[in-house]
Amino acid sequence: MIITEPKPFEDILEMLADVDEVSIIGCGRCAAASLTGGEKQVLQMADKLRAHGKTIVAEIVSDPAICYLPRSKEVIERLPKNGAVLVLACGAGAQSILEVNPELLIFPGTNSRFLGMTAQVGEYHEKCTLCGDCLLHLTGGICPLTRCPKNVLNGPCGDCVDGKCGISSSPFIKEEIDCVWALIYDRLKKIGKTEILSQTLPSRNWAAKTYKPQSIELSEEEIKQRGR
Amino acid sequence: MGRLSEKLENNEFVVTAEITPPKGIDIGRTRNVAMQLKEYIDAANATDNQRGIVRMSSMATCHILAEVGVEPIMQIACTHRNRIAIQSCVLGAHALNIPNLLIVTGDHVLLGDNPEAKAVYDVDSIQAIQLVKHMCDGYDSAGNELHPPPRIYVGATANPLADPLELQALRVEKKVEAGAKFIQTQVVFDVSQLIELLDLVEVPVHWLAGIMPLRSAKSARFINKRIPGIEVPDHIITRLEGAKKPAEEGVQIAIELCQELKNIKKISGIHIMTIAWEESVPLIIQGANLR
Repeated sequence: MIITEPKPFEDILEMLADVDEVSIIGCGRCAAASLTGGEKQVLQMADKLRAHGKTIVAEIVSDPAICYLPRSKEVIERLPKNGAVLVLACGAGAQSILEVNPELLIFPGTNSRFLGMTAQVGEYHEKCTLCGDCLLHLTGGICPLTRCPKNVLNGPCGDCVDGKCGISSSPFIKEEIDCVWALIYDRLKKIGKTEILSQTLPSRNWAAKTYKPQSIELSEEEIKQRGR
Repeated sequence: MGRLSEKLENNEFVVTAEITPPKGIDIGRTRNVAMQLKEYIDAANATDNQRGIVRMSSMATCHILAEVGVEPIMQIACTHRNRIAIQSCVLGAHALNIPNLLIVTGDHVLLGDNPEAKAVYDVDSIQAIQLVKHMCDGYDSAGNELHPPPRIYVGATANPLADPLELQALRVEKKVEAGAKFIQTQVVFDVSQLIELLDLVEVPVHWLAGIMPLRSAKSARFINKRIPGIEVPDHIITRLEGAKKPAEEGVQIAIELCQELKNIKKISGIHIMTIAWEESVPLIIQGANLR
């Protein structure tokens, strides 16, 4: 899921400085799991904005996810036809709203951080960089592109000491980080597949990722083949 | 090709040293340091924004080294160059009479003085070495012809301290297979660790053991805290602490390590890294009778 963090409330107030009336929409899926855009967060945000003199026009939580337009469109249509909307969802959710109603003024209430896993309520870990060419079968099911700060595909680099990543020496890193290649090696040993490591993984083809924005549009035939 | 490759391929012992490019435009110091080192070393590395700290480019620094007659080894870090930039550097190196490259994955930007920069890491060091070999064979990374292709002697790094050691050994083998001819190791304080790595690597390659003189116990502690992949052992810190003149003691420790290292059969040379204390290099070389 997309893990989001709330924008600082002062930043939200600043972006809404010229706005008196605002709607709030949260997302009942990823943002709810991130504790940024579920029902409680939408209600809290409404109270805080009212306390700062704003009029709240609508308070909505979409479940389905806002970004799944086949089902969220009718929820989004419940928002007022124009005016300001504070979106407590990821950037994809915020922009999906604009696809349904281009008249709305979008204000982001969260920062989208990463594609990850909720280990337990309040604990999130990045798991995937959406590289477009999954290689987990070669790395014991653990992604080096996501977890190695240097994107090393033939690791570990010379900074791995006692199984810890060299980036742990940075004043920006609060806790020691495990070297992902040490984890991959342990995992491959456990499943008896260390021989995979003897091949040099080639450099990645980023062409598809460099073309922005990326879109996939299936033909009717392809949709039928995949099974609707 | 240059003197470094010639001597290594003839199995002669070599000495290289690292010259830190200026933070600013003071090429006078770089030139002076190079002239001081000239008669003692076979080649000098110009680092590529090492530790993620902005400095003069390794290519420009190499050009200055070549001008004063020191054979340059141009370092290329994958931290801030994608494959296009790496290839243009390799071609540029040829134009500036730079006969050697050292390819490193590179220190992460979060450890440097511009932590907000976007790290690149389009390719890793092994892939970058493959890329250069491919260029020397006449093709760029996309398979387009380079005519005429560059000729360059490529080196790589290894860290005997890093673990798991068997993976470090495997990486050295991959680097050699990719085209690396020599390995300059990370700083060695414990010779037995280096020997362990040498014994694990099953392909022939020219090993240059890394040496770093320490100025004081304080700088040793800073290295342990802030520079990944190097560990100054306690007994060395104690020696520096107890010394009346710590810098002289630091040089003496480096000399002792060189004396030990030069007697190891698989070692083809010494590589001295000083963190902008290049003046210590001649003292170490003379003290250890490396020349």
